[in-house]
Amino acid sequence: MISSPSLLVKLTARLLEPREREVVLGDLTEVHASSGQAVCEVLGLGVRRHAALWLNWRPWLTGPGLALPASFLLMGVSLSVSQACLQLVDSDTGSVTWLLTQMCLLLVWSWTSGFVIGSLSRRTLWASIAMCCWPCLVCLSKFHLELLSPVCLLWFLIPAGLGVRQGLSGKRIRRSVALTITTVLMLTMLLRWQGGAQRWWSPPWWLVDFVMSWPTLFLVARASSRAEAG
Amino acid sequence: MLGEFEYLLISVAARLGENAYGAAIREEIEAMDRTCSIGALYTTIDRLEKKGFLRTWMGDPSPQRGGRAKRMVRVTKEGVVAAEEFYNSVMRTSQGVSWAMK
Repeated sequence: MISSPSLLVKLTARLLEPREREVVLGDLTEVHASSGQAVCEVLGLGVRRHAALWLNWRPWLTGPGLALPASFLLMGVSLSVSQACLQLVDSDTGSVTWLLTQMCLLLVWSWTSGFVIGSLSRRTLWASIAMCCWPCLVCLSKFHLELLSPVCLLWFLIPAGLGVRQGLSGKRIRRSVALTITTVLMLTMLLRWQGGAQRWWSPPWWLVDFVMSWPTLFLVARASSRAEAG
Repeated sequence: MLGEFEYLLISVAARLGENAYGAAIREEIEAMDRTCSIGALYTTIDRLEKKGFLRTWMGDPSPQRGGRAKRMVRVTKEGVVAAEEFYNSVMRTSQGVSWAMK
């Protein structure tokens, strides 16, 4: 018998939306449910609610469709940026243009991917984060370059985190800003295609460009005019 | 067309009238020897509300609920029509069968 739900029940109830949490905890208090029974009941509803979210296309697109592949690719770009920095510092064989284009692409791709994830999968963000963490942990465990720290794989997480925050805030990007970002991205990719030199690690860049550019197109599609953005 | 549990829930909510809310509906259903988890109850209420057969709103907090609000439920006109259709359908299809003549 509970007069007030136990800490365990309250913690389990965090699975629910605040309004529903209030109602369910009230119901359980009213019928004097035992702690064990209350946890089972809340867990049952929480699992149903979260399972229902996966009937929608959004979590599939943002989790397995974006967070998972983008993490692998952006770790590659992060590594490429670190290698380009190292080449510039240690020898004169490095290219400043290459470094700047890679940095620009890393920033734009990471931020837009984070923005898409934050915008489309608020309630399943945990799953998208898990699908981002998994490749990171795999790559960190296998990383063994003498001159570079494993942390250099994770540069993309900073702009991606800022993108997620912007996406979660629900604020719309102005169309002029979205178009500017897209134009800069396209020009940067062209510049890199022209000046691409052999690097230590060289993925199929056309594939990276193709996969990582669609979040930018989403940004343009979701952008509002100046009047709408207010 | 309603499902069996949906019909049951609408019937109980209609019978409870102004006092229809989550815990009361669940208590009534369980009094009929039916198990009813909170998960089944609230997902069904949501489904019926989406179909337009129920309307729900947050009621006032009460001391026996630890100061927490109730989710009040009311059957809409569309809900009454759907329940009538279900009932009539069951009655029609049950005519002449052995278990209905007992």
